[in-house]
Amino acid sequence: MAILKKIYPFLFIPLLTSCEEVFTPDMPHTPVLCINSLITAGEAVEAKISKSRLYTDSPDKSEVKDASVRIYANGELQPDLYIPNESDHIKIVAESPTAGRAESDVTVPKAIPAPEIDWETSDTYYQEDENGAYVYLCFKLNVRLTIKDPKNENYYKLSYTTTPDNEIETDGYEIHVFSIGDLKYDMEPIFSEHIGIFESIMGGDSYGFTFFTDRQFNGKSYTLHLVFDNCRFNYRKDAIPECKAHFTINSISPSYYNWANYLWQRDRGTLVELGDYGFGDPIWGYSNVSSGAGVVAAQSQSTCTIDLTDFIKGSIVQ
Amino acid sequence: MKRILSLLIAISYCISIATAQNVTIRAINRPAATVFRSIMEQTGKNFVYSSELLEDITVTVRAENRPLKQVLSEMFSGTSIEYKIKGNNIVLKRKKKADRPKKGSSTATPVPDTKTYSTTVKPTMLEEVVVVSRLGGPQVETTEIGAKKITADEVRNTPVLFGESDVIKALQTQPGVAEGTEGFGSMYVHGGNSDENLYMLDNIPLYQVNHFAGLFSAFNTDIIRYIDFFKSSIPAKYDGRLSSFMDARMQNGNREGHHGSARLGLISGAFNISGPIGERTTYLVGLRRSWFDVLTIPFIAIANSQNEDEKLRFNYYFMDLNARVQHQFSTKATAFVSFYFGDDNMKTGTEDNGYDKPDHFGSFFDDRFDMHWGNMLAQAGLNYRLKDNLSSEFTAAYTRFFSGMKQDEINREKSSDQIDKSRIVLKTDNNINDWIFRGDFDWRPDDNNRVRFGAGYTRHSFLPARTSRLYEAGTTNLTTRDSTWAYGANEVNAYMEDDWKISGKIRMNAGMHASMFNISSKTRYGWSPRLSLSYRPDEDWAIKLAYARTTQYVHQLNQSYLALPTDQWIPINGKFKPETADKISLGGYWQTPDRTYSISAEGYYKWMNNLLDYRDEYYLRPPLDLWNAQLCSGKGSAKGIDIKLEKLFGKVTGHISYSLAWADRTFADKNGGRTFPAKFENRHKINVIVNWTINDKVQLNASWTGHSGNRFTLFNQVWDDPEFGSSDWFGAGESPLRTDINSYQLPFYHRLDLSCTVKNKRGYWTFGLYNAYCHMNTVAVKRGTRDIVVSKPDEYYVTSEPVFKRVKLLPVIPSISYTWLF
Repeated sequence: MAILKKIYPFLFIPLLTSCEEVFTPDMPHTPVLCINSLITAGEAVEAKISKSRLYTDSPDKSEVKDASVRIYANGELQPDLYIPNESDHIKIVAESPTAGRAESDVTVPKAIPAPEIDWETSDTYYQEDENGAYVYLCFKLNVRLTIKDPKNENYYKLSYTTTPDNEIETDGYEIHVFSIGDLKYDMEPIFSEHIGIFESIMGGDSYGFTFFTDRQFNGKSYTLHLVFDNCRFNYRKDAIPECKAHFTINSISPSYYNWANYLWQRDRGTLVELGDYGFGDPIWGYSNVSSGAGVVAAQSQSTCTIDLTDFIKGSIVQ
Repeated sequence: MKRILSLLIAISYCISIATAQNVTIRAINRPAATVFRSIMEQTGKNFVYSSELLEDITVTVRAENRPLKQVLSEMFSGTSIEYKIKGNNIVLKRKKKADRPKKGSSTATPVPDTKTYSTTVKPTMLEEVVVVSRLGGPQVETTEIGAKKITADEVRNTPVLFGESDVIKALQTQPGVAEGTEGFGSMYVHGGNSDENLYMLDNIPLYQVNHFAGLFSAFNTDIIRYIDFFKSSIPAKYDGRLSSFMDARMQNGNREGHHGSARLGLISGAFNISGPIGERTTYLVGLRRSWFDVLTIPFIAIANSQNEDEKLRFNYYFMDLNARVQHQFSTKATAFVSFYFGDDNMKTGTEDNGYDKPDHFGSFFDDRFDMHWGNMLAQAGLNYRLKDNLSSEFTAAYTRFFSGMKQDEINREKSSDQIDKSRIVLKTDNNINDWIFRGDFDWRPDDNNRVRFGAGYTRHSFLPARTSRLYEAGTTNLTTRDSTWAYGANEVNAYMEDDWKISGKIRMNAGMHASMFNISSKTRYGWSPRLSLSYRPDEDWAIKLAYARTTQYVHQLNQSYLALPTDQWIPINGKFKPETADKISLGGYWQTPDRTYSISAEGYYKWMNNLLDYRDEYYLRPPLDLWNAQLCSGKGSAKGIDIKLEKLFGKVTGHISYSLAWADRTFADKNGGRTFPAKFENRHKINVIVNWTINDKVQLNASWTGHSGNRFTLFNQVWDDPEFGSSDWFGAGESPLRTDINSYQLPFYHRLDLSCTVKNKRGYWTFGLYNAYCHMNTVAVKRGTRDIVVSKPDEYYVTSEPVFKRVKLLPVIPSISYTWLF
């Protein structure tokens, strides 16, 4: 958004002279019930029920204490604890004497087969401390993750973690670090497919956005090119752990993708700002709940792992 | 007399000279003023005479391609009138010295088809002068409803933002025309959208008519002769847009000598010159250019001097270049070529050279952003008089809209021993190329009929988007071409209309515009019938009835109400049908016998089909989807009445107008299928325009506008975001709950603009005051926060609370410019 900051003063020079005035709009507002739920295959279904509130009200006005919730799976009412399977059609119905009724349904997507993975490292930098007790490695990691897309319209989300945990651990004066660094989101164009020309020009980028669709490879294989910069390893030389990176491809429901896309538009796009100044139409929160409030989403996961232990050990000068 | 002529020339500055000097005319005992009109249409010259001079004067003349002087001599032989051709004016006076009324005691004598300018002159000279112009004919005479011919002077006399006279902003003061967002040059005519107006320069379409995101229009008023504007009954010649048609006509070159003007304003400067090239050829060149880039140089330099490493780049300008050359081959044939190039160009960015320094480490960004957009138009035309009563015009033209953007960002990560460089380059292009070939004919089979007909072919080439991205990081690089949509389309059209004086009281204009649009092996047809009827019980009033259908094959996709280079013109394609509008209008017109005042009331009902708009949550559709997937088709309707009281002649002229309007839209995939009001409906709108010629040197202009506030979509409720927490920028917050589109109305809008023109020997000063009483109008409402201070005995802190805010825009803005005439 760096460019945006430069362009706005140019485009909106009149706004430099604008002012804002607090007011109370004379508009009716009737609270509606809100359902939020992320359903994951193999995990118990949970839903958070709240209600909408006037924007100027405090958040506690959204609390709902008198709602009843029913969960249907494939048309059948389920007990309180229900663990969904892939392809289950889940419907959540909430009713409140004070906030009305809301419902939403979603189909739990099928997980794709475990992705094929291929990787390589480059630009390795090695250093030891003055005592030779600690080693420090810095490198780039290129991962090629190939997914086989089933036919029909599918939506995905990529996530990744490392083990041992990539958090810094403090043990006296010792610091243990293993991190695969920063994913170069721009280097994988599929993460930018939701960004239109207007948004691109205004500086919108895909940083942090790992949602994508199969529109460009429907029913085929697609290889994600993941470039991780600044991967770091910092451990005692005599205690090298098993270092692994885990990549998860979540098959997600359209509602999950739309919600993520909406969030990008809201927080990173320009439409909201244009709307705020009357130069565009404002956007509302995406919802697949009958009341217009809340998101019911679903996902299934496929995970694959790469083991970097040998690479790290091989990079250490004995 | 010289002073009078100078004054007259100044007044009619932009009513330029037509080059044809031979005329064909047949008139037997017809009022002189009526004959003048025909001569003016053929020659472009103005008649200047004392108001009482033509009382009861009739003339008889038969001329066929005879020199103008011969015709004039024949006309006035046997009368007490003599003439003299002075530049573009034909000045009439009595042969013998006549008794003159006392100074200031005379009044304008009614002259049909005339425009009167009153002026104070020396007692030894004419007391009052009439400049007969074919511009601005009385509405009672024609069959047209909602038509307006605006002179360049009228445009210049309309006070506007930054003092930049603007064709579109002048039209915004007309009843039935909403201005949209304050300060910007859009038009929303009778409930239509901004892309439903066809803007033409010498009858050739321009797609991009704005500079600076719409703050200024692309029409250089210094070289404009007049503007034809149609919003209700549309001549059969025009089609292709639903709501209105605006044709700005450039001046012809000056045959008498090299003359021009140079203007210097706060925002831009302009230079215009025209003159003869030999006996039969004239030229006209007009250049307008903004000078933000010059003005910003010192500010940028100061800013950069404060920061040794990071340098700011900024450069913006817009320009318009018009040129026209006209050559008269014979009394029957005149040819011309004209050229227009309008361009906005912006370069911005920063350059951080800190990485060059040995002791500087960290991230260093270098980004450049270049953007340019505009329109180019070239045309060649031939006017040929086939017979005395049949003339023709053949035109070949090329019009191109273009925009291009390039973002080049380099990031250098510098550590103690190396620099890692990554680069992102984003490029996008968007253009339209039209080749136009057309033949238009004007046939007068008899005194009661005027038949216009013609046909044309347009080859459209649309490239709505061609985007490429380049990523480089170390040894890795990646180039992608995201989308290239290209469409070729063929459009053929033909029209015919007859303006028929059925009787002395009844007149009819009936016509048809037929079109064919071929794209992607699919052909669409459009039939646009037109009918206007006028009943004129007597000379002073008329009632009219009109029906018009319009068809539109291209439409504009824009995500904002600004005119940005990212706006895309898209042809009708796929499942969508051409947009159509059917409009019925009824008008009543009355004018005082001396033509000083006129009043009109025009009602209309318009229904529109196959309208295109973004569907709900279109922004969630990936842009790789065809644009069709983001759109939906629907209907709209508009109705209302425009009332206008106008004072045409005298020291004080102007108009007061009132519009009452309703406009709505219904789309199956928008607003949940529910009907919603148009954003710029402006239920009530009042315009007051006053032009006061204080003396021959000073003129004051005032424009007051007031209208119901624009419609707005205000979300007054929110709901808690789900906490999926799956990415580092996912934060739990709140999202607005959707409400009906445009369900909130902004407060009443009103504004007064003033300008004053002071003439001197060399030219004139123009002083302007936009929003003179500084009423900052609400242009939007938004959700925001305000800081509140919590002060308790044991704690003190500042926090914020959510509030609704009105966004108010432009305060009083003064302007000044000087125009030098030579």
